[in-house]
Amino acid sequence: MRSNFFRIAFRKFWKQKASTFTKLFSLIVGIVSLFYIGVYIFHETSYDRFHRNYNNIYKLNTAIISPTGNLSLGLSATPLGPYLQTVVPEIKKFVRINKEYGSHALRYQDQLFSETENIYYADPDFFALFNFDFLRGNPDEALIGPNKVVITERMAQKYMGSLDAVNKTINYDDKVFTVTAVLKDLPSNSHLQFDFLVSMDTFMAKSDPNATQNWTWCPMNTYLLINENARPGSLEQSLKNIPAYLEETEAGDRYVASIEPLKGLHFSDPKLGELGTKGKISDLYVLLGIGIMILLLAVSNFINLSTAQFSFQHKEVFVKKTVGATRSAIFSQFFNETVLLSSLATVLALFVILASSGVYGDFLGYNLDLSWMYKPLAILGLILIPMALSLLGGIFPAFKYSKIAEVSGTNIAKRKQYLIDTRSALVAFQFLITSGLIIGALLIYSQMKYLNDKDLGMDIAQRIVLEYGPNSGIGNSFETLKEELGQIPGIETVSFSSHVPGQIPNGVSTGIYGLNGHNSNGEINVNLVDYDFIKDYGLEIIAGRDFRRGEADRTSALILNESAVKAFGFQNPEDILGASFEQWGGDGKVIGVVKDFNYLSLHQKVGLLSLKIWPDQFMKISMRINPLEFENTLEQLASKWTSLYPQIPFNYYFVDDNFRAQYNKDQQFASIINGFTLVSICIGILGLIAYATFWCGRRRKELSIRKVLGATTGLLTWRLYSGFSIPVLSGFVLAIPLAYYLGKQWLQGFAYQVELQWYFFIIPLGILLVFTWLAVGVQTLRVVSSNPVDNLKEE
Amino acid sequence: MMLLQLNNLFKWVQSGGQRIFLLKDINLDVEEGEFISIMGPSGSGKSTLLNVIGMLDNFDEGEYHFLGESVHNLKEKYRANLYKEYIGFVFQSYHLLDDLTVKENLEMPLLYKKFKASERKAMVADMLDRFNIVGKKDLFPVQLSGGQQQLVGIARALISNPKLLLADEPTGNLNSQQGEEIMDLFKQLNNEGVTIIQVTHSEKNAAYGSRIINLLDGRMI
Repeated sequence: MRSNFFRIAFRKFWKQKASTFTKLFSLIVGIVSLFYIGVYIFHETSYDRFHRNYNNIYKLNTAIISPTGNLSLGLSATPLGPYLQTVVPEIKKFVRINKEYGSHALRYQDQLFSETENIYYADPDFFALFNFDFLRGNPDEALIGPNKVVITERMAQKYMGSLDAVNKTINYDDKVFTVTAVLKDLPSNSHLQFDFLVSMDTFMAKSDPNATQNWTWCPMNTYLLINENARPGSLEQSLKNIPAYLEETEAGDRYVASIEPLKGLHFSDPKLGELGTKGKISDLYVLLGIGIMILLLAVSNFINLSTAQFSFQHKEVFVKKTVGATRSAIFSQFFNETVLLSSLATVLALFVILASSGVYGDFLGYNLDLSWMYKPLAILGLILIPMALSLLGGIFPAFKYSKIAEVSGTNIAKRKQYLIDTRSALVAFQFLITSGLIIGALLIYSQMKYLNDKDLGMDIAQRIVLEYGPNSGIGNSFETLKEELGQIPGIETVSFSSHVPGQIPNGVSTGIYGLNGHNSNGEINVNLVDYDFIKDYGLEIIAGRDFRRGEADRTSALILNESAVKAFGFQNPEDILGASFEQWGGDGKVIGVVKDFNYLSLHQKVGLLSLKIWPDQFMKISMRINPLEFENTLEQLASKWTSLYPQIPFNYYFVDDNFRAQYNKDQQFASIINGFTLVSICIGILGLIAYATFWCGRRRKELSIRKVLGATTGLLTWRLYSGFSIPVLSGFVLAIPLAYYLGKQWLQGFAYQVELQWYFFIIPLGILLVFTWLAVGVQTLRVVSSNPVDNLKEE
Repeated sequence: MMLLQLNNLFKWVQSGGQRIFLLKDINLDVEEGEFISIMGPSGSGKSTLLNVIGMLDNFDEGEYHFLGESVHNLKEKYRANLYKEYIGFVFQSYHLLDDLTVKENLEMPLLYKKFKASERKAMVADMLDRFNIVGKKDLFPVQLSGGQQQLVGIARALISNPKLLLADEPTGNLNSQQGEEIMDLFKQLNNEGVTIIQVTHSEKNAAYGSRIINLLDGRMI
């Protein structure tokens, strides 16, 4: 490179400040966006890969084929793991994990803590399958014997205030647990997320021995470690020959066990009872697409602006040619300038990334690990990124410039025309992307709003849930507690249940024997509730009656939802009234039918549901609280609770928050899309302004002539604007089918979808045209209001 | 000694199915040391002829010999080498690069000829000295008067010691006093042995030359 290349290049960048800024800004934003999208995608695809046995771990699933429909469980029966290990030699080890749902009270010395959904029971071989880092204790012995618990670093800090937790004891369920090991906090890309890992012997000791030998009760997430060279085929054969699953159950259910590799588990179809959150591979494709689009936007800004400077720079090329510059010399000069600018953008982008990674990490809800950026491979990337960008954005203009060096003056006009066409196409392309993204963002926004606003068939506002967990003994005396709580002013309703809306109730096999002789079996969900639940949640009884107070309806009265009635093969809700049922070893009569309500997210259709009174199983108290006295009421409630149950932490949440939490992943995805859409709009608009400047500059002479000949300002402005709108409009028109198709695809993920409205397409058009108008308008006024003589003198 | 020779040279463009001749049957011999003025009304082909001689423009028919080389048979690359070596250009509107200082403008042609940095420095210093513009070496073109800019333009054309200097209306943008100074400089250069071909409208400037070629509608008359 020439000695003075840098000096002159920087001088040139400085002189064309606006254009240099736009180019740099677009590239930086493009790089940063793509980087963050890359980090997200990388995180999503890195799930569980850190286990050394990643490729050899399989998970057992169970499908229940039932007359009322099929259930697909990510769970398996307790004896299945041990059985398979005895019949399939390829299985080296197995681990069963049982998760404790709901909130639980734990005590260390005299401190009381409440833990929610972070307690797992696991077999001793857990750490032989899965690799988590140990800070204290021995992985081989940590889970042997009852009442042993492994905790994470943050729990050791929370409970004991130090990492030296081994051999200290935690009280849980009136038992004393000994801490055997402390783990480093689990990586965010692990589908297993726990803070307490309790030995499986503990679970077995507290469970009914018959239950742990039950083949139709599926409480376990079972993982198998298979020989490296084993073919899963033979294992699958064994799964088909499980003696307990060869025949249908009495209720007519058929159980089918299957395996699924840990590899890809994060993206497979969600199944009931699975651990961890699931990802959607299609979301990643959408994001990757957006990332590439943003980068293309940035690069096309680059090309557009570079070639727009043609009018100024063709003189430079011409002069250089007369003093002997060859075509390759001119090509390399322009190309090197691009390389320089892209390198600058890459370095600046790095600073932006380093400065903003914390914010982005907070948004995603996990710590971004950027340590890999200091490794040699990443540094190689740092060199390659500017080169790749330069190739994308630099080759074309550099080639065009060098081409001028070959042609004589007479041909330059033709070349210019060609470049203008290329630029118009690029502008159209940019608007294709930008309008597509705006339409997409609008669609996602409307769908999210629709999910929040849709009538769920129940009333969940202003309600809090107090969760006291199982094994507390509260259930059987719930009526006393109900009365006590009801006396607190500000509490309007009190009802007990095993689950509240937004939580998946248990699935159980149920038999229905109709009065008209129609009998039917099937697997349906059951929520165990008290006699006020239906009333308090605003559910509507459409046939029969609600539960009544007193002993009569306890466990022997069943209320079904409409969907369940249909699934059992009854035409009208009235037909099922009075039918006998068998469920969970109990029986009784169907007394009513409740109108379908969305007790789970709108991703899925309303499931089959039955409601039954069973105080023993109650774990939650739903209370509607007068919003005007909320703080006060909560205070009284808390003090009452602590005085009644000092051993159970006062632990509450809002029903509607809990319900909406089901859309957290969607909401996050929507925010990401919206964020990047905004970014791409910015880049698009910047490019538009720059292009408008060029476009108007080029028409200076034409406009001046028209003005001299008597055209008014309005006419001139319209002329510029209408000509400029063509690429904008054509980009937009091309975006419509694309956005429509992709939007429909995305909506497929929801059982309840917002209708595509005409204004999804018209609003983006309006936004784009307004911005075009502003960008062009300012430039136009500048040209139109200038003295035509100045412009005509120029050439 | 013969510097260049044009034999039956034609140049045309196609317009609406018709050939419009820009140059028609040009025959011209130029000896080394000549000072030739090309004259003629607007559109007569003066600048086109100058560009063809300077090898910036192609022609469609005829022969062009430059220092014994047949330019019409040469490939682009050799042709570029030829004019890089032997020809310098001066333009009516100077064509200095606005982003470069006087010194850098002068240095530019040398960059394309692979001189060493020290050699370039010496040659630039020499040229600044010769044209009395040492004090202006770090200024940008916009900071100079028209006459000074043209002086830099000529200095740039001469820095690599061309045999032939081509000037397209070199005084066209200058006032009469500046113009006279430039023409005196040309005369002096010619006396030092540089062959000059200039395009001009002015009888007075043409009179500096040793020979006048008149063009009308692309033909020599």
